[in-house]
Amino acid sequence: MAIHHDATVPGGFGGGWSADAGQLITIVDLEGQQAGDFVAFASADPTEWLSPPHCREALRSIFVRRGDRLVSNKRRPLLEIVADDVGIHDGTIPACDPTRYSVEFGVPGHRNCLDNLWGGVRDRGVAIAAMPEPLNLFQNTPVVGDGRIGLTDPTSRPGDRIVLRALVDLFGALSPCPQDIIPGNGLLPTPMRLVVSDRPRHV
Amino acid sequence: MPLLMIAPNLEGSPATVSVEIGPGDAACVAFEVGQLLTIELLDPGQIAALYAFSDADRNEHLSPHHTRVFGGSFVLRMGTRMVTNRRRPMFVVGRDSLRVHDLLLPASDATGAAVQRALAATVGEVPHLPDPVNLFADVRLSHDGRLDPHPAPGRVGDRVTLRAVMKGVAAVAAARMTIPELHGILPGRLRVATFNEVADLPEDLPLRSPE
Repeated sequence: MAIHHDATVPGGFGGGWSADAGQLITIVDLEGQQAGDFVAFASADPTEWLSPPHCREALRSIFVRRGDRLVSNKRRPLLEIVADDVGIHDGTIPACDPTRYSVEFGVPGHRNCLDNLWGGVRDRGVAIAAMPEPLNLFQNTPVVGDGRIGLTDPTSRPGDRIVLRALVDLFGALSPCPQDIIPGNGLLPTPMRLVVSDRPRHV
Repeated sequence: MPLLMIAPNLEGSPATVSVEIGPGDAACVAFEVGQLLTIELLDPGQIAALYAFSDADRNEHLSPHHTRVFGGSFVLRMGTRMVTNRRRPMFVVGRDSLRVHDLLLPASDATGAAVQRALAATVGEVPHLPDPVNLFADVRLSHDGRLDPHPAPGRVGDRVTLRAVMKGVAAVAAARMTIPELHGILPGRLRVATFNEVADLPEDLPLRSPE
């Protein structure tokens, strides 16, 4: 079994990855209750990216599940969910960014997913203003009450994973979210592992 | 008379405009801090894709995604602060005769292209076309996350009135969505306008009775 990429990304930081069509991308929540912001771009055309709004349109749901094919902003399937220990992910919350902390919490200078994600793809020519909405793996964003957004922690346990198959050649980035002020990561950012392989990787 | 109760307006009132948008077309309207921006249906059952960009920096734009998080809701309501991708308020929903809108779905390719043409012809190309706020689109969200599209229920004269709290330019399209169930009838027209005085606003239609 060929392993093409195997990296542990510290909680609150980010890392890039790439995968060829057919390869598997396994993301592991090593310590549990950690959301991972995830972006993917078509290697052949970085103006085509994994798009949660277009996934919602295609799937008629704000949530994604095993077997779903995740589409791009050009409505082309880029990824398929082939295994999923948790079954709870979010595509509705934008990446935390400098203003998330400076405007909403009065904490300027906080690490943030937007900068983490961009740091993983900037060398591929992606502008920060063109960073897409992320798919937030393991993030738990229930619909509560009268269309309100529930604010709570992931249900993922240590070692839980999701496996995505690349349907085209891709590159992207993962950011184990640095949010440590409000619920979202159990108030403690922890590391995640990302493996790109030809077959499912058992960790 | 100042537009907002903050200071005397020494420069006079800003210009107001009123633009009719044909089926499938888009148009741009500039707005000043304190002005009222209205989007009105001239034909029933239409959807308006609303985009807006800050004059100070075209990279700062209205964001349905950040608006959801800022308001803690998947739904646009009266009083919602509609914020930019930098989490700064751009509009507040001040009046709304229909109260059925979508903050979740993308634009169709045709609508995005119409908006880009309208922007290019007025303020120039923008660095990045974001996702729109789909005014008057009826997309019902279940607790299990399911999205259930229904034909747009707007009546002739239904109107959303937004108080601008940032200076910028709005691009509005008489949208065609990709999901066919969102459209019950033929494409129709919209009117987008700015006002300086609440007293100048047309009378709103009465709220529809709940189904």
